[in-house]
Amino acid sequence: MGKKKISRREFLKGTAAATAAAAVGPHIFVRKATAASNKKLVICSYGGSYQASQRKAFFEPFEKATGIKVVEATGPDLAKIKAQVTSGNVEWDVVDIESRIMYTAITENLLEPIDTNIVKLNTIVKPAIHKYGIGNIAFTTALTYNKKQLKKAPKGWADFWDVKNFPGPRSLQDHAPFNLEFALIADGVNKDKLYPLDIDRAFKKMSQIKGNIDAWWESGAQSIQQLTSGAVVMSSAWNGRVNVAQSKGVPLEIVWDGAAYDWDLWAVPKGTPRKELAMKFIQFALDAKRQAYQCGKLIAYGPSNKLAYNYIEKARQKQLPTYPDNLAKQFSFNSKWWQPRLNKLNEKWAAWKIS
Amino acid sequence: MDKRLKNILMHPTAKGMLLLTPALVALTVFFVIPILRMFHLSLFDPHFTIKYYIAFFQRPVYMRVMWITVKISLIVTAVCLLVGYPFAFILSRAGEKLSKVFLVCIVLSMCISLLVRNFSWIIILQRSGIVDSFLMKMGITHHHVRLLHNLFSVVLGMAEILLPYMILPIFSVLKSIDPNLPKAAQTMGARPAQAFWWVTFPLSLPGVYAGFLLVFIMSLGYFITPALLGGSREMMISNMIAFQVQTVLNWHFAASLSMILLVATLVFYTIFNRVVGLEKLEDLGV
Repeated sequence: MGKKKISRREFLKGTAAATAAAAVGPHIFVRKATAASNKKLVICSYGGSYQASQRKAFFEPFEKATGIKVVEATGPDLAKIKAQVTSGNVEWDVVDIESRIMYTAITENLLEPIDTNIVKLNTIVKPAIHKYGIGNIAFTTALTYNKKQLKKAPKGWADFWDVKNFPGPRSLQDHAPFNLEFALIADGVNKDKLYPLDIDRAFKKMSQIKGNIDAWWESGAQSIQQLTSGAVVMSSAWNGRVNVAQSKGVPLEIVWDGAAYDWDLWAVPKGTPRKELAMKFIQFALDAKRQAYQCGKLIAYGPSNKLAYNYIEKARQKQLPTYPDNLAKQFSFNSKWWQPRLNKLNEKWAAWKIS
Repeated sequence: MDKRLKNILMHPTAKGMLLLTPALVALTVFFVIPILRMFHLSLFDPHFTIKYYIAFFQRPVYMRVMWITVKISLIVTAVCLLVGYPFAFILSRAGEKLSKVFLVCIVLSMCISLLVRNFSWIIILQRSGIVDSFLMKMGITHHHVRLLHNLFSVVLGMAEILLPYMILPIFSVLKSIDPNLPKAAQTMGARPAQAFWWVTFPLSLPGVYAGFLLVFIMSLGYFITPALLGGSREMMISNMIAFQVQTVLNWHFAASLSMILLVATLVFYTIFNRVVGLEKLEDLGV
């Protein structure tokens, strides 16, 4: 979400024009590139408890090992990546992005190919390897509920739709991807036969639950906040963040059945003056022990390095999206199917929402 | 300094122009040029095309969002007027000290971040939040009341932020009205309510118009409040623009949406000007 603020001093006709300008203005006046400095590396990720785990597992050790300062940014917006690349002022050297965002970035020609001379891939699992990005963790978007707010435990998306037996307000992420899949699963479609999605059927099913969705969440932190405060009784949420909340004593529960797993990837925006260093960082962060520390101790996501599992306790492995029992219950989110349809379906999503 | 140069510089018009220069430069660089660039972006991809404007009118969702935007803005403006006018009236009749304290409070409220104020509303209005639990504890309701993520919370959040823009112009006009005028009406036999309705209120209308215009036009471009406090249906055109910029990455279409919002605002401004006549406001120094 953009952080455009309405200035207090806009006057009469100025107000409207300024608002319009505010939409694109910030992207036009990007500050001029400063001299390329190799003393720092700018990394943009998704914030919250997730970025905190990356700070401990990768950023701080990288600073110690190399003496290079890691400057953090939050919210790897496609729009910001595009503005940086097209204006030639690339500020972010490494970004952590979801797979469908990587696919869009590829079609817009915004990423550097991964330099496999620096980034070693022999122990990385296959689905994590792409030309323009290397999977960092597997994350799950799952039905999550607050145990204190529900008398019965929901077993899957069909229960999410069942407002009689599971009363209370709900929340979902404010976009079409994932939700349409969940709707189809709730409608009885086999999770292994989702794609190509039956769009009309999915929207029809979504309409059944619309009145019970109190809030559409936009950031991962928001979904957890709503579940924690009891503002909603059930929501889709990212498993790692749920795990962090659980470890703080919040009574949340994940339903693995019908959940979606997808990859977060390391990628490098095109034209960064610190490309080589960026690749070195990716290689550093793919290290089995460092991934094991992140996923085993800090946040319950699935590491992309096969060897990382050697360093994660058995009990902990059961909480990860990539644990075989969990994996069997989920479906793999198909970014490739979504990418070319994303614009049209998101537009349809907006039209559906206000109808 | 050369006397001739001094004469030129001290000439009334030249002096005016000189004083205007910084503002004009700033306006051109930060305002006119970006708008022109955006206008260009909305029409060239990379060759001249009006497909992005056609798309707006072809697909019903955008017209609907435009209508929602106007509707929410009108409601917010009406709420601000209903709350703001009595407030401004009392303020204008209050003693010097008291009205100063209130004015400082109003201006100070404008210094608090919009985000903070919106999030505060979430905490107050959410399920099991302050209001909800109070209502249930008092036994006024037995079920949770849905106060958040609907038209109510959006209007509340926007009106709370925009209220000063209604109060201040009305207050300044009310303050400039000669207090002897309503008194004169009363000596002619008018009751206080009549004196207000036939003398004070008509004289305060320029302030009402100014406040109305300010609040309405600022509402049209609102973005954060509907995103944070709104539900499914409270989607405003700025949210749509942000969506095109950030998620869809269709900046040409985003630019055309922005231009349409700008033109719609200017059209509204022109109509308003014709009907009301904004010169009056300038006379009053509003």
